[in-house]
Amino acid sequence: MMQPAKPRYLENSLQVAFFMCAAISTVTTVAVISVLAFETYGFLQQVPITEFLFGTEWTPLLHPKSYGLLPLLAGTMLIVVGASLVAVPVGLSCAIFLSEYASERTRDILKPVLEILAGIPTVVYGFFALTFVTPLLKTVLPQTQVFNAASGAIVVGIMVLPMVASLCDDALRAVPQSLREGAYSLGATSFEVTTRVVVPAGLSGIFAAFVLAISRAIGETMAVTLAAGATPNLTINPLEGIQTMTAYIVQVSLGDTPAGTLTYQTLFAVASVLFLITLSLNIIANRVMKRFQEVYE
Amino acid sequence: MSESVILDIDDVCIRYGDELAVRNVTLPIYEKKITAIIGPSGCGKSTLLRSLNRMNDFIHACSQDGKISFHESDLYSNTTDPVEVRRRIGMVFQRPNPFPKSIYRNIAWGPSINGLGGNMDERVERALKQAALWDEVKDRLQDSALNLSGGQQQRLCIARALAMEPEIILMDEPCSALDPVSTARIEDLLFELKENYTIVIVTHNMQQAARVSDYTAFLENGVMIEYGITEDVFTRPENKRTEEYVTGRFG
Repeated sequence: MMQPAKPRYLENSLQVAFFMCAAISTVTTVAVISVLAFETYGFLQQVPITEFLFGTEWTPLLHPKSYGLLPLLAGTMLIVVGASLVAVPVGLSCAIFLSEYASERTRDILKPVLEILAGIPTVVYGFFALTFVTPLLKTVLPQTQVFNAASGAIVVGIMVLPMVASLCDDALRAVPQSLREGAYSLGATSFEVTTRVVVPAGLSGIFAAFVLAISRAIGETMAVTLAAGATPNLTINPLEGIQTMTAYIVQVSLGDTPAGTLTYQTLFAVASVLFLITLSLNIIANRVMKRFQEVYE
Repeated sequence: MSESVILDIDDVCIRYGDELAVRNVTLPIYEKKITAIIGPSGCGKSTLLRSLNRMNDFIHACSQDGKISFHESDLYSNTTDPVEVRRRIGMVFQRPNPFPKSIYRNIAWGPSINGLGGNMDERVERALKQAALWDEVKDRLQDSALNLSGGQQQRLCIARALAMEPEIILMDEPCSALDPVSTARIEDLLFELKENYTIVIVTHNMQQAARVSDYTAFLENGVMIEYGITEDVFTRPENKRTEEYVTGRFG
């Protein structure tokens, strides 16, 4: 005869504990999104959405107050474009070297070095931009301002470089060795095999790496606040001071803006835009990654 | 014998690190004939085959002694360009490995990077016809090669090698991943290709070797036990090990 089941108190309570832990992250996400949405809604009650999205002046801290997001968006875009110009070609070349040309021993040295680069605190990069990159730019281009988008973009590019290199390296190494052998057996050189078979075959993974890098560059805060300045500026000149969306959030958060005011609510409105952009970029990257995983399975 | 030797393998040893995979193999490959290399798994037959178009160059631990002559010039001399070697000695692999590109671009890839002249459309059509694939794919040349069946993909890989118009085609168990119907089609194909190409085929399928080849070499543990005209090797082998293997008593 079977024994009647004993209640397993420990197991049941552990199950509840695990569930709670899992719930915390979900609840936090939902809470953050709710607060963002709520405050943004309050902001948009007072500022029409068209003015917010298409206005060309951003002066919420000065009189006359103006709430056009474009200067901040332009500042962020300058950083993103500049950082991509650094990180994409260098990161991809680095990955090509690691995956196609480097010997096992070279890889074993280079990979950890890249990871160390990824572990440097971002404030160090900002400091480095201000004290090293900007003076360097100034010697070449004397019209460079003390705070400028270019030096911010360069260090953000260096900052996301390890991520780009590492993700691209994964994408290239996922290309089956049999494809390389097939190409070599047709009389291709290493360069032709790499550029005309391996990189095209790993393209979706490479693309996903770029999108994730852009997403990180958009969200990057400390380095651009230090290097690029706090002047909302609708410009495409990288040698001028600008303000990114993240840098604006820092500026207002550090000030003594009373809760509930319109200026306070701009924080959430800007944060919402930031969140929507990075969220959609991450979704795109995930989709592309999935497609790329299906190809060789 | 009246046939001329296109590849002359002379006392070749191949090592993977400390392990000796091929031991002192001496073997002639005759022009426009099919030479089969048979033997149990791990006997070194694929390693030997890959040395014939320098595909072992990509395996760092791999080293080689002895001499392989192609048209009487040393395949491994310092002045020999391995890229040129692979242009003239093509290869078909164990598993079909088409590029993730269209059917057309798979065939045109080799000729286009090597700047081979002539009309590319005609070259693609000719290669596909030689590989007996043309009728099945002529209406969908722009489709991805990955949508083809396994047997079709392998014939595509043969067509890809043929498009380079090599002198020799090396085949490394080309039918091992295929069903019997696809295997039969590829064997038929080999007879036709023999007219114009020299073929070296590695196989662990004895019937296949007996059916398609003119000459057979039997390898065991990296040593060449026997080599001769296929009929002799299969009907009156000189070595007892060969007899046991071809009659299916081991392997």
